[in-house]
Amino acid sequence: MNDKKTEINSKEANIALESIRRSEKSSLQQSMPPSWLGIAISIIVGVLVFLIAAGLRDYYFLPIIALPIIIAMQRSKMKVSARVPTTNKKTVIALIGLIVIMIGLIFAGIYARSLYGTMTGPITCSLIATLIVYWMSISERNEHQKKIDQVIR
Amino acid sequence: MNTPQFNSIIHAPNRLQICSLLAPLEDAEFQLIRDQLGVSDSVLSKHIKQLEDAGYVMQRKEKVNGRQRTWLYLTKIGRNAFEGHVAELMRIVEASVF
Repeated sequence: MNDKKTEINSKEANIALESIRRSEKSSLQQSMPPSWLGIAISIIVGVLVFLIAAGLRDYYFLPIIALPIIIAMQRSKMKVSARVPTTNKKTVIALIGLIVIMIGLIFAGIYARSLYGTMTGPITCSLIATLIVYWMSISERNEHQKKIDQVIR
Repeated sequence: MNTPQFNSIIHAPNRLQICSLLAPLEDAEFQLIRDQLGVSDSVLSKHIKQLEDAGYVMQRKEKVNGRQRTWLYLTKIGRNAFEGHVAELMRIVEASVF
């Protein structure tokens, strides 16, 4: 059936292409990660960095439990899931870089706490961690928006 | 880029919309596709069945909070057929320009 040659004119083809563009755009809009998710994840990461740097071991479990709950909540609300591009070198390097930065911030926080004996260091490091993750979520949303704007074949 | 090839299974308006909604996604919920198309469950099921028979679309069922959710996704064959169809539509449009 699909091999059957069917004649359609350019006007009909144009209408079909327009319909495809509209649908693809709508799908991409639906798969846009919500802004609250970026805010929530950045706060949770910030709290985790603060707790570790401040040595508050009794509370480590809070952000560790909160993170999967937030992700599960988001997944159950979404009616679509975006296509995940195959892992490339750039993504792996960015992920390793992020982990290194977070570990660096934790050690910087621990060092500042032991040096000055106050919580200023851990708080500052957690704020930096929060801002980095938030900036990443904004970048992700911007990339997604670019993809939506570029739905031109 | 796939070889341009007209596909009469995909070209039907509703099925074309289903494929183009699924193309940029990993998967999408049945309800969402139905709402986007503005058709009833049975009409959508009929079109999905035709796409499934051609091997272009697959369904995945998931139970969330006691509620059954049906997810639809394009298979690799379906994705290739859709890309080929889009390429053919573009070829027709371009041919008319020159």
